[in-house]
Order: sequence, then structure tokens, then C-alpha cells
Amino acid sequence: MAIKVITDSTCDIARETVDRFGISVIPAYVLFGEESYRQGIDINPTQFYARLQSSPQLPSTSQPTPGDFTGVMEPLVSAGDQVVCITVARQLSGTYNSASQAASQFDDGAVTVIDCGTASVGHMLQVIAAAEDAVAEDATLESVVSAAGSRAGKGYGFAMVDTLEYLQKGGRIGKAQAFMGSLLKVKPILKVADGEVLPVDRPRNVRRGLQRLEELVREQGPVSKLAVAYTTDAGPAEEMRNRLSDLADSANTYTLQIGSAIGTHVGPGAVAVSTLP
Amino acid sequence: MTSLFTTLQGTDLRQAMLGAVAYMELYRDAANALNVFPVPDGDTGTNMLLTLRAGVEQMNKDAGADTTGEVSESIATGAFWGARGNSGVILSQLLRGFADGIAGTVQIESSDAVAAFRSATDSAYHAVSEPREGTMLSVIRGASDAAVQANDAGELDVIALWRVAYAGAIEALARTPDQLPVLKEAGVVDSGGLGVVAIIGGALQHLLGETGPAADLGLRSVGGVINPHQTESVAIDSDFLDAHEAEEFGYCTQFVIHGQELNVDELRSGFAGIADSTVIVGGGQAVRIHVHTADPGSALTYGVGFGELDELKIDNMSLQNRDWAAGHRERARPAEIRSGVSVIAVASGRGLADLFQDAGCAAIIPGGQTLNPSASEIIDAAMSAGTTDVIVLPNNHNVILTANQAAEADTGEIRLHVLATRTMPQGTGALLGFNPEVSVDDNLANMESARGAVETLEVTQAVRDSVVDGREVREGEYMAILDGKLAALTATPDAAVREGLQHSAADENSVITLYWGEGASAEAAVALQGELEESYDGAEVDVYEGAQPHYPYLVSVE
Repeated sequence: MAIKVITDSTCDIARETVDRFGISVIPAYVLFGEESYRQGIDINPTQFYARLQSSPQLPSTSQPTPGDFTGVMEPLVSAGDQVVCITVARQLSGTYNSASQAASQFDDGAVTVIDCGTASVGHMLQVIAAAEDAVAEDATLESVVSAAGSRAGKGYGFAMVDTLEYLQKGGRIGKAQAFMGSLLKVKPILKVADGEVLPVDRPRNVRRGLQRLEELVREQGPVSKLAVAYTTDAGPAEEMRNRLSDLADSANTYTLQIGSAIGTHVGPGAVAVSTLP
Repeated sequence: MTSLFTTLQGTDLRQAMLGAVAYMELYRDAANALNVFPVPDGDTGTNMLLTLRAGVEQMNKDAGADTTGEVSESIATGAFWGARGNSGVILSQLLRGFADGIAGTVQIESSDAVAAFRSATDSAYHAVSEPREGTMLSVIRGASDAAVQANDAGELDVIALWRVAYAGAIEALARTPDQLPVLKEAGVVDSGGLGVVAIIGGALQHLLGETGPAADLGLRSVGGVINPHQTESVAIDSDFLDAHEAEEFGYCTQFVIHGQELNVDELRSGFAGIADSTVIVGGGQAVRIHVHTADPGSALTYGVGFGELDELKIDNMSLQNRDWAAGHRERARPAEIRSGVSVIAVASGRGLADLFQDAGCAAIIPGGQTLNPSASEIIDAAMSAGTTDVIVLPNNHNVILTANQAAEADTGEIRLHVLATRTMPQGTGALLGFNPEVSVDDNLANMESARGAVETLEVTQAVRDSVVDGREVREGEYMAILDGKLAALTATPDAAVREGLQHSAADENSVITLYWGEGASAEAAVALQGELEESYDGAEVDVYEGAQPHYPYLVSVE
């Protein structure tokens, strides 16, 4: 009997991290027309972006079904494990609802579902931190859940996108609508926190955008973990990581490639960054 | 014979105002030509004329106003809303002061007129934060000081006093080149000051016109110092009788009737039936007709019944009036005003207007023929924005005062905040710093810092010979103006961009944006983009069709 952390694939957590902590990942779906793919299983990021940029039709995304969650939760609960499920923000996706429905089938306390309040890098760091808590010697369900809840309340991610077109088409643009203009080639910077996509700034190019992202991250205060992510171009994410390398040691710094679920909404050329205190 | 006028009535003031507009029309081009900086926009004469017309329009609308206090109040109110450009704003404040000086009067005596001139002067000086001598301020003060002296000396005839004030204004105008070195360098008197002289003189002309033959006001003698290059355009026609204000759009129709024993009163009442606005003078064998009418044909048909027509001139006023009327339509308000911040911008050129809209402006204010909108147009746009706080981007140094005037007006729950952007590139820079999710104060601070990071290079063709910053500028040369200072003079617009940028902070880290407009082409802009990418290796150079008038290129360096 143990405390097990599970999550959805939208956080793009790396395979080795999953293996190291014994985290289970429930895949979200991406649909090109009628064809449905499970993220990370039927389609990898390289295949996805190639298709995204060549397909005349934009893909859509779909949350895992309650059944998908049940399928993962059931064996864990049966084995006597306590399950903590951390999902992408509920305002951005129906994933939290699917997970909650699945959780309600089990006895009270068997499965706790937590809305991380953000997405992608911010989501992933919370999953890793919870998984670390869960394997600590004195871990209790209460302590893991309480720490996870507190991180979720402060969770955030900054993203710089090449265009807001994908967020708009996917219906996730929220208040970032205000930055919708496309005539000046700006690189909008957004913040995802409290389940909202908020406009932050509009730098004129990637170079200035990275500079601004760095400022924004440094304003967040102390850092224990740092994650950077990209959709199609690793270069700017690497630069971001280098700029911030003094904030966290390499063991606590993660670089990931954003896959189909978030990629559908931010599009090619996006960079994201998040930290945990 | 000239009768002694110890008082002026409200109707006299109306006549005086019509005369003022007529003279401003006559001197508009002369005043425009006096702009020291030979750029083709922001024309002082046109801005003053449009402001004055807004005053007249309100005066005509308030037909029931018959005391001097009421008439002057109407004029000041109209001018306040219609003020365009810095000179228009100062003029509107001058008229406000004039009205305040005689508030509540039924008729005015010579001492009241003195009070009005003094108050007009004080108010005009208060319109600008740093009043400078050698400008229209000095000219109104010249008029006021002369009137005070005459009154102290016992002058009781208001018209005589007005004549003294007018002479004082002319003297003050003639002194402006000695007070302001840039004027002396360019060999001109102050353009706004000339406007003030024309207004006071036009008023006097019409006041005299009621009592005796039109006098030669002696402006011709000032012509010599107005501008050595421009003597023809300021030479005055002493027979001048020009338009006063139309209540409708239509045709400004002018002609002379040659006939026998022409009766002016009969003609006046006859034309009044077919035209909105009539000025008819003369008598005997020749009468000059100046009417505004929707149907010039009927005016000519009526006139030809009295004799032979001569010196026919018909102008369509709708172009001028469109701007002016735009400031006076009913204010449209959205159904709901939400608590929040939005931005509105003054933008000239379809491309730039689209860009400001695209980048998040709630409303765009077109600049109009001088590229300077009125206070009223700014307020209309602010009211349509739909938020309690509205940040105004004037995007032109000559619109900042107007925007401030708009911000001071009573707009109820809607608060206007002016971010004093002096160029359109500064405006786009500021706009990119806008975030509707943060407070108005944070926005003002962020946008101010965003605009501060932008250098602007404006490229335009000199519209006349001049001397700027000690350099001789020849008509037709391209001027590269970097943040308001002449940086280069060249034979082509492309060379102006290249040379102008050498004086800027542009380097390999810059983002350079070329907004091409009238006088440039997409091909030329793209070729220039390639060159600049090479010269500033690593810099990002963007090209955008601003479609702005008068400026082949506006360039921002960030």
C-alpha cells in the first residue's frame, strides 16, 4: 500500500520521470477530423506538429473519458493504494470532470482529484513535487494532498506564443483576446493561473520576449524547481533554461516538448516556463 | 459719417463673429504658409478656422441667445468642443476667457470690452503649460494692453476701442520675429498670431460694416514682414467680403451684380429666402453677394434679375465642413459602460488606423484634413469605448493640447487620460504596453515606458522654402525628422530613411518598422527593408503599409 500520483498527458511529463516515480499517465485525445489519437501513444510530438502544419483542418482535443481514468485507478485502489490525481485546470479542460466522475465510483478518500489551476510546465512541476512527497518516508495522504493543494493555488505558467490564432480557434483564449492583433508581429506573453489565460505583455520579437519571460520568472521569488518547454523549436527554450540556470540545479530543472493536447492550443513556435517555490 | 458707439449688443457680437470667421477664411492659407517647419500637416490657419467655425455653429444654433453674455458664451462653448490643434485649443481658451470677462452682460461698454480682452489674454496664457512670447499669446496681449491704455485714457466708443486693440495686435504680431528666434531665422511672423489679428480685424470690419463703408484695415502693411517669400498670399483685398458660416452643407457662392440703383436691403431679404447665410454689401451700381446655399443655381438666377453677373466663384464646402460637422453630431454612447480601461488613438492613414484597431484600440479618431481632430471628436470616441477609463493616444504633438482639453471636459462617469504620444510609432509602442487586465495607473506607467523605448523618424517633403535649425530647407526636399528634430535633408524619401537612421540609436539589436504611405510604394519599402537588414545586421526590419498621408515613411526604432 502506497500513495500513488496519477495525472493526464496534457502536462507532457517525460517518460523517465514517470518511470522514476511510478506515476501513471492517462492520455488525452487529439482528433484530426474523424481520426482520434491518444497523446504519446498513437502520436508523438514530431508526428503531431508535422500534421498540424500540413493539415488543412485544425485538430481538436478531447479529455480522457471517465472510463480511461477508472481503468488506471481501479487496479491501484484494488491493490490498496491511495491515489492522488492532479489534472490540468478545470476551466481549460473537461479532464478534471472525467477524473472526478471516475473517483466517485470508489470509496471516499480512495482517490483525491486536484485541479492544478494551470497547464503544461506548471502542471508538470506540481505532479513531480507531489510524486516526491508521496515517496517521502513520513508521507501521509493528508500531507501529500495538502501540499499539492497549496501548490495548485499558486501554480502558474508563462507562455510566449508565435500567434494567438490557435488559442482563439480552440476557444481557450479567455482574456488574452485583448492581445489578438496580428498586424504587428508581436510575440504575445500569457500567464496561465487560476484556470485563466491572461494577457501579460507583447514584445516585438523572440529575443525581447525571452528577456521579458526571464524578468517575469525572477519576479516570482525563490525557486526550487524550474521547467521550460517548447512546441517546435528547442532553441529558445534552451536559451531560457540557460538564462535561468542560476535559479535551480540541473537535477531540478526540466525541459520538455509540449505535445498534442497543449500544442493544439498554443501552436508551433511557443515557449513556456514555470517554477515552483 | 461714423456714429459713436458706446455699447455693443448681442447682435453686434454675432456680426463681429461672422466677420472674424470671414477674415480667418481669407487668411487661412497665409497662416498655414507661416508654419516654420515646412511639413504639410497640422496647419495653424486651418485649425483656427475650423475651431472658429465650431464657435459660430453653436452661436447659430443658440438663436435665442441675444445678450452679449449669452452670445459670447455660445461661441466659447462651440469653440471648446471644436478646438483642433494647439492653435485651435489656445483660440478656444481665448474665446472662453472673452466670454468669462463679460459673463452676464446684456450689452457691453468700453470698460466691459477691456475686461473681455484682458480675460481672453489670461485664459489663453493658461491654455499652455509653458507660455512663450512671440506667439499668438503675445498678440492677444498686445490687443489687450492697447485696449486697457485707451480705456484708461477715457475712450468710451467700443468700436474705437476695438480699433485700438486691433492696432495693438498688429504691432505685437510685427514684434514676434524679435521675440522668437525660429521666426526670425525663417523670416516670418507667428502664424497663430496672424490668425488672432485676422479674427480681431475681421470682427472690427463687420462692426464697421454696419455703420459705414468698409475700411482698409491696414493689414497690407504687415504683409512685408509676414514672409518675404509669401507676400502675394497675404496681400489683403480691402474689398474683401468673404464667407460667414453655413448652417447646412452646400456651395459657397460669390459674385458681383452690376446694375442700376441696386438696393442692398432688398437684395438681402431676397437672398435670405434662398440661401442659408448671406453677406451682401455695396449698393448703387455694384453689389457683392456672398451666400451659402444648397442650390447655387437659384442664387445666380435670382441675382441675374438685378443686373449683370461678374466674378463668379462657387466652392463646394462639404469637404471642409465634413470635419467640422463631425465634431458636432450627437454623442453616441454604448448601452453599457463597464468598469475598466480601454485605449483610443488618433490615426491618419487607413493602414495605421487598421493597425491601431488590430492592436486593441477601442476606437480610432481620424485626424481630418489637418490630421488634427477636435476635442469633440476625441470625446465622442472616448464615449464609444465602453469603459470608465479611457486612455487617449494623440499620436501627434499638435493634438496633445486638444486631447488635454477633451480630458478636462465633463464626461460624467467616463474619465479620459492622455498619454502624450507625439508620433504614431510612439503610439503603437505605447499600445503594445497596454494590458486591459491591469489598473489604469499601471497601464499609464507601462505605456509611458513602452513609448519611451521608441524613436520616431518621420520623412516628408518640404512644402516650402524655410530655415530649420539653421539649415536651409528647399521646397521639395525630403526631410528626415528624428523625434521632432531635422536629422537629414535628401533628394529622395529612401535616402531620408537611410540618412535619418544614422542619427538614431538603431543597431543590430533594434526592431525597425517601416510604415510606408503616400509617396512611397511597397516595392520601394521592401527594397529599403533589405538594405536596412544589411546595414543593421541582426536587426529585425518590418514593413507595413500605413497609407498615411504626407509622409512617405514613418519609421520606428525600438
